[in-house]
Amino acid sequence: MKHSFYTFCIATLLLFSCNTDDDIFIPVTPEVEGPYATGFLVTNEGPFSNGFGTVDHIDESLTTVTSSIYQAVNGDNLGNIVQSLTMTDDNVYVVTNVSSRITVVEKDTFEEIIQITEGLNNPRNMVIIGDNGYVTNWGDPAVATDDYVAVLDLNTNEIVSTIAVAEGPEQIVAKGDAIYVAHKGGFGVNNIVSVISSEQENVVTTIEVGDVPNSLQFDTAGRLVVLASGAPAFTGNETGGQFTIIDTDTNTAVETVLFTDTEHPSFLNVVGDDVFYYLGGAVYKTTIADFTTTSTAIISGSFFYNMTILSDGTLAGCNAADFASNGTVELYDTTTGTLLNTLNVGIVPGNVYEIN
Amino acid sequence: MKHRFLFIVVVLCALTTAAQIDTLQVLPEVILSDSKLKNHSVGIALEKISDSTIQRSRTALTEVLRANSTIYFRENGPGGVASASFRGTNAAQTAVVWNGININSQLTGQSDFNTLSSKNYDQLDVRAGGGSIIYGSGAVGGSVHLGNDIRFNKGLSTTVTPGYGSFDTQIATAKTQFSNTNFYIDAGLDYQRSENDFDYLDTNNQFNENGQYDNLNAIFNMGYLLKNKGDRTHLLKLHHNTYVGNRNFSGTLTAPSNDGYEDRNTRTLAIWENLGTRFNGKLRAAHIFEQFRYFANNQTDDNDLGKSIRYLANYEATYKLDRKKELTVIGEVNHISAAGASIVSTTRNQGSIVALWKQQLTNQFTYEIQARQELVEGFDSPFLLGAGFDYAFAKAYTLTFNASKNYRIPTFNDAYWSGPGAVGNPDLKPETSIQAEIGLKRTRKNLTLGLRGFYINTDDLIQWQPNLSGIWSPINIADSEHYGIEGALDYTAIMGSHKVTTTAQYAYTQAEDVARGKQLIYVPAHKATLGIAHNYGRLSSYVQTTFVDRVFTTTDNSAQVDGYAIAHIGTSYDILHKQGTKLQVMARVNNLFNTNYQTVAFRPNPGRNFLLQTTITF
Repeated sequence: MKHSFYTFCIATLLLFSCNTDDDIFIPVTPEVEGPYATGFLVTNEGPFSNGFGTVDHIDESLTTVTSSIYQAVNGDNLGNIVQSLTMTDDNVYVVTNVSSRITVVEKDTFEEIIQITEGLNNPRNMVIIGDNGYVTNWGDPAVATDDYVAVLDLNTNEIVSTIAVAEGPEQIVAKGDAIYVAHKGGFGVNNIVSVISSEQENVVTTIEVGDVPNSLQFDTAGRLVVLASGAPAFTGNETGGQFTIIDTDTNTAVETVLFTDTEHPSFLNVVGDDVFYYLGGAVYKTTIADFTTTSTAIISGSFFYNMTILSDGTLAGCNAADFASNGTVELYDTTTGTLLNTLNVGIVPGNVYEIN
Repeated sequence: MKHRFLFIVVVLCALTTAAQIDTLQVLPEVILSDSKLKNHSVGIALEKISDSTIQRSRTALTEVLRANSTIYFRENGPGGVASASFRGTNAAQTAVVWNGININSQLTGQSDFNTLSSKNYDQLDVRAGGGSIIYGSGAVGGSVHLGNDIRFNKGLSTTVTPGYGSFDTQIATAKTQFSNTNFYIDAGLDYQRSENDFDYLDTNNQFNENGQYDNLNAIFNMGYLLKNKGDRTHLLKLHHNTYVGNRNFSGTLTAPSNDGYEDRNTRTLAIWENLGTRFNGKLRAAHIFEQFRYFANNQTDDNDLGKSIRYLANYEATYKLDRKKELTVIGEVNHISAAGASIVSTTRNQGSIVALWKQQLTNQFTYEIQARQELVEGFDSPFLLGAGFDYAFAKAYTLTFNASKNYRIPTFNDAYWSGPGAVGNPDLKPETSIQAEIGLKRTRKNLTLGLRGFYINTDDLIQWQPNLSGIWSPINIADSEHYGIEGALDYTAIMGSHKVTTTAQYAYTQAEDVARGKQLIYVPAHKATLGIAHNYGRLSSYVQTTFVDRVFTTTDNSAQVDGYAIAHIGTSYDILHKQGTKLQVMARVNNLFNTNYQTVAFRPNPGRNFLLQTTITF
């Protein structure tokens, strides 16, 4: 971190865009067999301005970590700032942000199939509908008008078209043929969710939510739940976080809960009727039906760069430490709030994904 | 690269032997811009980089010092940002001093050594060890000094050096100077530009994309003798320096880049010197301007700007009680304002008072005590105290010792940053260090040997960390401990018409984060340089080698950049060499063995490359 201060700040910003993965998959029993057919994958962004990110594997019992599996298998690296990954039944798509690359590997072996670079510009996150992947792209971070969602043909592994969207598209989820994109705003501040028709490949409508929507997920009733962290103080126009529920039939906000102006929550996790979020070093648990910003913290004093509630109810918190050394994944019991285990992973762990 | 310990004896001699007609006359032959450097470095290692060494290299100061000092540079490739690490300290703990004034950026606290030229300065000195008492904030690990001299009665001369090198590198240096009995003037320009598109070795056709740079460094110096009679000399001096740099920041092995960066720096210093046999007074006034523009995309005009303007006034009074006792008092005021896209516009006033007491107790033993108190708006500044001695014994040997407290004040970025994802902290304390060093030096005829041991303990190191809301902010968090050994050797052998000069330096550095117990990132345990030059009549040749140990790139020491050894060779021939007229051609091969090495992770350096220069003096 002794480089140009600007590089540092911009790199810092890139890091801020990591968050929970809310992709929807149709559960299928995996037919694949190989060292990485079961368990969990961890994306590690890697160091700021140089170097590369990695993917670690954690076994099913959440005890053993195999580091840098892509490198080990392929003798190559994933590129600079590994942002996210997305799985199909057979493949894993690793999105690398600064290198503008998607690396396609076989799910069970992590053997590389292809690297996709054409048509990508600062890619962030991907969701899959049928034979297509939809990838949010910032474009040039300094330009507000060149952001888009790239359409990846999973059969040919080529970007076949792009859908222009507003500034700073980040998380992306899908329901049926509809795609929902949360616009955090890139280096700036945005406050919308774009609704895209995957068939028509255009933006159907945009829905206003809180400033800097950082995570979105569907609840059991199929409504879209969005958590915005609010605009930070340095913008000169600080706003508090906002919890929003969107009816996906009418594409309108049906419920809104505001945090105070200095509260900036993040890392929404909807688990059944419960909602977990992170705010100021603590994890809070409340409910969809009666969302409150005043519940008691179930975990406090933690420093998470991201968190995910796994299917067995365990909370996996990514601790990036000083961002200049290897991080950890901290596993918590969400009922008791006790720390179960700490696993050593790579530099700047960004998310934990369940292999399914 | 001769180590020089100049004792008060020498200095007094310099002041008195210069007397030509009247024994009371006090004007020295060469008027150094920063006499403090040599006069007040008791117990400290001072190393002069010779003109011929500077001439051999390309313009950037990084390139000269990397091969000729124990300073380690974190250089983002040629032309990129390059910061210095002295004895394992951080980039803001090395001060760059221009004609006696600390010119580290008010915004970052650092100097980017790729925005400093090595050309057209008369003095380039490296001072290892604490120097905050004399040179202010940041002179913790050491300081690098650029100086312009004033000389009278030298007439008119001009030197022009054009050059061309690999990767379409064009350099040109010119300086002209004139002086008579009471007037001196010089003006110099140096310009370099490079496509800087070297191939990355051992890769699949990757090369240094977006690495172009050009820069222009202009200097102007003037001296005017107001009065030079009896025991009083009045002298007016003016020093000016303008730097205009434009560059792109190249990508890395894993990430492309389209960043651009512009530097615009000017420094102007006026001095009135009132010199006498017992009393010297020097009044200085300076204006220092720095500005950068950062382009996230160099194809657009969108940029972020940051700048600072600093006004400085300082008075230095030296009173010689007798030939062996000397008291110097310096009072200084600074008014600094800073503004920028991501900085809260702020001004800062600071004042300081420095007292230096130096005494030659015996012919062999000289000691000095130094003290500084600074007052900075909004910060508590520590009282700094230092002491050192030089003890000469057994004819050829000198034992030196120095201990001091030093500091670094939080920069404007540290205190007043307000930008995306990060915010400054106005409640920071200065970083402080307690340090000591002991040295032994043997100087005899054509052989000089030096050995030094140092220890530095720094407290309250400022580090940027994310707070619980994920916003990065600086705090006084870490402590570090540094110790090590430095060795230096200079040897000159003359055999008939052949002259062989050998210079070697070695540094062993341990620098640990106290809480982690790990080596600090980008601090090599070992660095060594070896230079051998051969001169025969008009023909000179040299080889320069540098060895750097591996460095860790993560704070838990889990990743590293491998060590390397590189060699440069060169030769020069004087086609014409007459009184006042000279024509010389030079050729140089950098990285002779085409070594693939990195100074910062994932940023390769050029393989074997070439430089041709011609120097014309008339």
